Amino acid sequence: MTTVAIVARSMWSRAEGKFSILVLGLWVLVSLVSLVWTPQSLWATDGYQVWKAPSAQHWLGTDGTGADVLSWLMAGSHTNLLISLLAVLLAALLGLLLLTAMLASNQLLAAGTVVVVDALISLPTVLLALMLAVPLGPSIAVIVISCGIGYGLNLARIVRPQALLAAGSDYALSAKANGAGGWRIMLDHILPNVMPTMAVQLSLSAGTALLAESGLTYLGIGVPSGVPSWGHSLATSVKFIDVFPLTVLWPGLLVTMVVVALNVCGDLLRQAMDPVSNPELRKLAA
Amino acid sequence: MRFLFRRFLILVMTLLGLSLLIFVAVRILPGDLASVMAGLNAPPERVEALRSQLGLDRPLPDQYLTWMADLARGDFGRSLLTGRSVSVQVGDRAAVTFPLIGLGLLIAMVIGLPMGCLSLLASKPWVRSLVHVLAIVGGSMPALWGGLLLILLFSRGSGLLGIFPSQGFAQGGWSTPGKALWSLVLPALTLGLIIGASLMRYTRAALADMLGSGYMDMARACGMTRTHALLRVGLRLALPQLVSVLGLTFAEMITGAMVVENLFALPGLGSGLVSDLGNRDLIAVQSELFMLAAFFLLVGFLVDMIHRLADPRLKAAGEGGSGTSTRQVTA
Amino acid sequence: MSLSIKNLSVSIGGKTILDQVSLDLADGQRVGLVGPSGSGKSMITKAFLGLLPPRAQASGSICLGGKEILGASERTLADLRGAYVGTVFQNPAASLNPVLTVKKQLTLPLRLHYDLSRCEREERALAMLDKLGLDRSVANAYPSQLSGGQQQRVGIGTALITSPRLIIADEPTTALDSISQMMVIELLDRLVDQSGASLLFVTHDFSVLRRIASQAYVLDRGKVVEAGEIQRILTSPQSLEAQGLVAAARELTLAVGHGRQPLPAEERTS
Repeated sequence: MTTVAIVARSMWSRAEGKFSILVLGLWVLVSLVSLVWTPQSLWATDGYQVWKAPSAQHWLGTDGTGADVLSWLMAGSHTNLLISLLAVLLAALLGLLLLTAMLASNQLLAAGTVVVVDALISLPTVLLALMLAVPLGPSIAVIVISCGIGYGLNLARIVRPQALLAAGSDYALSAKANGAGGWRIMLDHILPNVMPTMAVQLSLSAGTALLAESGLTYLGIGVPSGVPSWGHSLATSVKFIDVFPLTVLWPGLLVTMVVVALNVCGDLLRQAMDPVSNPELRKLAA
Repeated sequence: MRFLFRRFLILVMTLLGLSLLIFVAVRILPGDLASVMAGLNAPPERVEALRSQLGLDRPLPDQYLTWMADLARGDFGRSLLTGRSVSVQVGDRAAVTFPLIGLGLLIAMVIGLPMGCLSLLASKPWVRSLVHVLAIVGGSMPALWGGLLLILLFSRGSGLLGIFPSQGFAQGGWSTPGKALWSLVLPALTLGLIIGASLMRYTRAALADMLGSGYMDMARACGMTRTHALLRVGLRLALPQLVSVLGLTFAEMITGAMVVENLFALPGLGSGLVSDLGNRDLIAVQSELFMLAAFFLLVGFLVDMIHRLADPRLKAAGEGGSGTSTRQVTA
Repeated sequence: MSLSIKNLSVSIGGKTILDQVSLDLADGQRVGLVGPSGSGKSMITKAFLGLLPPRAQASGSICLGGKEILGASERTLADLRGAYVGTVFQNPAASLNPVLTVKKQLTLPLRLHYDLSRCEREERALAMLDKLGLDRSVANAYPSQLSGGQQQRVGIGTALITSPRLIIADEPTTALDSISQMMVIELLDRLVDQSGASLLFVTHDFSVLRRIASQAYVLDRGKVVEAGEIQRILTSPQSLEAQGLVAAARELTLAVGHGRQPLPAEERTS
C-alpha cells in the first residue's frame, strides 16, 4: 500500500477525519458542478425579487440585485478553490526556493536569506496586499501573490530546522562523501524529510488563504465585484443584516466549516504522517 | 550586543528595500500618476498643476530621494483630499486603531491563556475536547462574520440584547473616554475572540511540549503539584515562544482590525488606508504604507529582543532567528 | 526512610513497562537498581514520585515510611517530594530550570515546604554550595553558564537541601564525562553519609554502582531477575542478564583501568 493510501485511511478512521474529508470532497465536487450548472443563472436578476427570504425557488433567498444567493455561493466555491490552490502552490515554490538558499554552501547567501526572512516575516499579509493593490487594483492576483509570499516566508522558517537536521544527517553526509551534488542531496535527503511538515503547513495555509480572501474582498482589494466568491457573498450579506438576520449565517458558516476542515486536516496529517504514532507507516518503511 | 546591532542593521536595510518597493508600486500604475490622482474629468491645467506641485515632473531617482529626505525630516506629505498633513491624519486614526488592537489583544490574552491551560489540564475529558473544539472553530471564523454574529447578539438596533453601539466612533473622540471605550467594545471583542482562539491553541501546544520535559519533572520533584509546575515553570519556559506568537499575531491583527474598522465604521488606520486607496489619494497612501511597514518591522525587532531577554540560554549565544513562527491571518 | 514496593505493575497504552516488581529499602540503607536501558528502572522511581504520565496505569503497592502512596493524591505526593524524598536526575542540562539562578534553584524545595526568611534561605544555599565544593560566586549564575559536572552538583544540592530521608539518584552520572562521574559519585557518597538518608541509586553500570551501594536489584524488561549483595552478584551472577551487565562493567574497568585492580578485587565499605 502506498503512503498516501495509508495516511488517508488513518485519517478516515477518526470522526473528525471523516468530517474533514467529506467537507473538502464536497467543496471540490460543488466547484466542478458549478462550472456547468447552478440552480439559477448568476445573472438572472429580478428587480422585483430583491432581498427575498428563502423560498422553494431561492433556497437561501436573493440579494440586493435579486440574484440567487445559493447559486452565487456555489459558483464562489470554484473561485475560492482556485485561490487557495494557487496561493498554496506559490507558497510551496517560494518556500522551497528560500529553503534552498538557506542551505546554500555560500555562507553569505545562506545567512543573508535567514535574516531577511526573519525581518520580513513581521510584515502582515494585508500590507503586502495593499502594496500590490495600488498598481493592480482589486484582483485575484493580489490575494494569491500576497498570501503566497507571506505563507512562503513562513514555510521556509518553519521547515528550516528540520532541513538543517536532515542536511547534517549521516545519510546526507555519506552521500556527499560519495560525490553527490547539492541538488541530489536536496532531492534525495532533505525534501523527503521536510515533506510531512510542508504538507501540514500548506493545509493550514489553504484555510488561512480562504480567510484572507474574505477579508481582502470585503476591503475592496480582493476579488473584484461581479466575480462570484465566498468573500463576495459574505460582504454582500453584511447588507442583509437588517433585512433577514438569519440569512447572514450561511456564507460565514460555509467559510468557517471549510476552514475548520482544512485545520483539522492539517492536525490529522501531522499525526497520520508521523511514523512514531502511525504503526502502518513504520511497516511500510521497514 | 553584536546581535542587536546586526539585527537593527537588517531592519534598516529591509525598510529601505520596502520603501523602494512602495515607491515603485505607486508609480507603475497604468497611466500617469498625476492624472489618476486628479480624477477622470479633471481639466489638463489641473493635472499639470498637480504634477509640478507634487514634483512628479522630475526624474524618478530625484523623486525617491526627495521623498526619503522628507520622511527623514518627519514630513510625510499632505493629503490631497483633505489638505491635512498625513502625519496628523495618521495620528488621529492611530488613536482609534491602537486602543482597538490593544483592547483586542488584552481580551485575547485573558481568554487564550487560561483556556489554553484548561484545555490541557481539565480533569474531565469532555471539558478538554469542548474547549479544543471551540478554539478550532473560533480561529477558523472570518473576522467579518464573527463581527456580524456579535452585532446580531449584542448591538443596539439590530441585535437581540441591544447593549453596545455597532456603528461609528464616539462623537467627541477621546475627550469623552467612556463613550469612546464603549464604542470599541464590540469591535475589540470581535478581534479578541478570534485571536484568543488561536492563542489558545498555541498555549496548549507549547504547554503540551513542556508537560513531558525534565524541567517539569524537576519542579515536581522539588515539591510542586503538576498544575502548579505547569503554571509556574511550564508557562514561564513557554513564554519566549508565546511572545513570538503574540508578536506575529499582533502583526496579523491588523488585517482583522481593518475589516472590523470597516464593519463598525470606525475611523482607524485600516479603514482610512483603504478609503485613501479608493480615493486615489496616492501620496498619502505611499507614506501610510511606509509608516505601517516601519511599525511592523519594529514590532518584529522588539519581539525578537524580548524573546532573547526572556531566555538566558539565548542571551549568551549569538545566533539569530527566534524559534517559533506562526502566521495566522485573521481576515 | 524505608521504602517497600510490592508487586508493582505499570502499563502505558496496553504495553507493560513493569511486571510485578518488588523491592525493599530499609531506613538508612543504600540499594542499587541496575538494568539495561529500556528495562523500566526509571519508571519505578517515577511511579513512587507520582511522576508517571497520566495515561499510565499502575497496580500493586508502594509503602513509604509505612504509608501507602500508590494512588495518593497529587497534593499528598507533592508534599512528600522535595521534603522527604530528594531526587537527582539524569541530565541536569534538561532538568535544572534554565531561567532560575543556582541560588533560586537550590532554595526552591525550601521555599515550597518551609517558612523561612529570605536571609535564612540564602544562608543555607551558600552553605550548600560550600558542601558541594562549588565557589559561592556561582550562586547568581544560570545553569547554562556552568559545566556539566557543576550542573549535576547543583542538582545534588537541590535534592539534599531539605535533608530528605530518602534520596533517589536516577542515573546521575550517565550524562557526564568520566572525571565528573567520579566527582559526583564521591560527593553523593559523602553527603548521603553525612545525612544518614536512604539511597536508591539507579544505573546501568555496575562499576559505578559498586562504589556507592552494597545491595542491588537487577531489572530486565520490567522484571526483577536477580537481587542481593553486589559483591555476590559480581562474583557469581545467577541470571543471564546480570552476567551480561557484569561482563560489560568488567570490560569497561579493564579497558579504562584507573590504576585499579579489575573487579571484584576491591571492596566498598558503606
